[in-house]
Amino acid sequence: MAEQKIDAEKLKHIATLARIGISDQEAEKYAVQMNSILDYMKILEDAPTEGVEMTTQVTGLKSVTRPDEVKIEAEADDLLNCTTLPKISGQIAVRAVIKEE
Amino acid sequence: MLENLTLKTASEGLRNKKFKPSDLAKDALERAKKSNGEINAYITIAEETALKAAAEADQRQEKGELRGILDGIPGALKDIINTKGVLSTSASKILSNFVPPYNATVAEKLLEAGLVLTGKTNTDEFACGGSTEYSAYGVTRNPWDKERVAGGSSGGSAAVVASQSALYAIGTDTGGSIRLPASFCGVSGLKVTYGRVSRSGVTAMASSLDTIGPFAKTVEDLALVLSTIAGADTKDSTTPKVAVPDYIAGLGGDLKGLKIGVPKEYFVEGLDPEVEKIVRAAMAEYEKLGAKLVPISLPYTKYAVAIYYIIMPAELSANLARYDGIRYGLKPEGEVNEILDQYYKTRDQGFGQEVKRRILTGTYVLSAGYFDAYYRKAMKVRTLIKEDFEKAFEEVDVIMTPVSPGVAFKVGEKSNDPLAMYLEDAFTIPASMAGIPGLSIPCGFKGGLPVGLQILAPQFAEELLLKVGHQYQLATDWHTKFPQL
Repeated sequence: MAEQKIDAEKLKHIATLARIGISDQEAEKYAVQMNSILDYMKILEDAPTEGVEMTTQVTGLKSVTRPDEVKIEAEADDLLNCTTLPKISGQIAVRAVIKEE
Repeated sequence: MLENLTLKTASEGLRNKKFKPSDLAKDALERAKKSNGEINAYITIAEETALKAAAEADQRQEKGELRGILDGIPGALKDIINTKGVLSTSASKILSNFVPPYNATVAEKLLEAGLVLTGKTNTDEFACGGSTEYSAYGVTRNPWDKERVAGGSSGGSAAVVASQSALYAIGTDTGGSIRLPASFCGVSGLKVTYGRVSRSGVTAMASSLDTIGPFAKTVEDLALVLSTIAGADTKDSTTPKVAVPDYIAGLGGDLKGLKIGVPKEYFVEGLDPEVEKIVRAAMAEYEKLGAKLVPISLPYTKYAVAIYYIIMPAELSANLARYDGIRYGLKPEGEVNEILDQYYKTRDQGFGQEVKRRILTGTYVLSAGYFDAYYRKAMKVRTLIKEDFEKAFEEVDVIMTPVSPGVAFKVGEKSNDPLAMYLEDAFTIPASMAGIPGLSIPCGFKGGLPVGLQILAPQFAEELLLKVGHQYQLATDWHTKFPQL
């Protein structure tokens, strides 16, 4: 199952995917801990799952729908008040998403 | 005064005008403030909100217009439940300033029923933990022994009921987060069937497992709270249109002929022998009440912890992706140059170590090349565990086990060893995987620390579960014991 051990470098890559900035020290620590957790997962190698379906919805619900109606659950101003970032004409101003070359 | 009352008797007292809702609220707040320095059960004590709600209930009482059993009763909500106008941090630094603009469905239902909200209870950050040590707002201590943990993640809610600063509290249970702290704190706690209570407005942890349920002093009180919060909700599409029975009416009747399954996989090495003795004594009490014990096997139990720590982090990492510090949440310290930098800094500074560990694990098991080996495999093993229970319930009505292999452990004992902490949930996770309800009730003490009995039933059989728990409490008095603070 876990053929590949996770080292600090790989852990930093995973952290980038998860959009978490972590220090080298943290990466070392989490790599050790994650390896021990993944080692424990090896117990699953023996589980007889051939031909077994995945359980994705445990009470058996299928395609739940509701009427397509507009409802006001919260006021726009109340929602905007939750941010600490600057607001410009009813929108939240964020840092540049696209960099200038 | 709360030390002499249950939810039910308090409600009767209000109806008979023996005391006022504001009397209850003042006593609750006083107890909360007095014990919070040591126990730290609350992140926020909502004094102003509570006194205002109590004053309104006073007026209804005076006019004889109390809304129902919960009207005017002090209760507390876990801090991952959104409450309009009341700080809701999810025990995370990333939400340290978050005052929700709306109520969760469960909060809305209880407020409409007349909840006097004493405060928001402590939990492991984003409900990630089994001891309430991983909160950004300090450890919740066990009211029975302040050197020990209250259990988690709903440790604050359990400790509030045990220290009697509210007559009920709401928690959430994803892998044992109601049952474990109920057991460690010596109170009654109910994990409901997946989908029985709406999760709208409650911070999502692992969406295929999360449930919401009550803690109280008695099983009868759990039934009273569940009657109010259960049912389908258009805002949570996982709540099926299964009728909500009259849980109070269902409590009566004897247990003659009840078949109790005793799974051998839960009475294994690692289970504290004294805890086993206490749990077996509780089951012997059930035999006296006319029930029959039936040895059963749930052979796939041994895989439950492993698949939980794949499925839960996978779902958690997706759910917590929304915490980017844009629409709400923490403003990171230091210069932020571009949007990615904002994400990295916000999430580094905002999340604690256990949450980071789980997000990283989840991101890893979902990443290309590992999805089949981990996530898909785990979801298949989940089916095997669910079928284990389905087969067992063809032969027995309920299943009884210990809640935990031991009693409350010392603060700091396991917090630096994630795997040791994860194994604390070995007896509660299988039921979560199967989506079935589980009740935790106090059944004895080991060295002054409470031991809990876990009772499991088929999906949507909460009525049976509550009856089985209530009948035990009519015959025994473990649930009447509370710590001296």
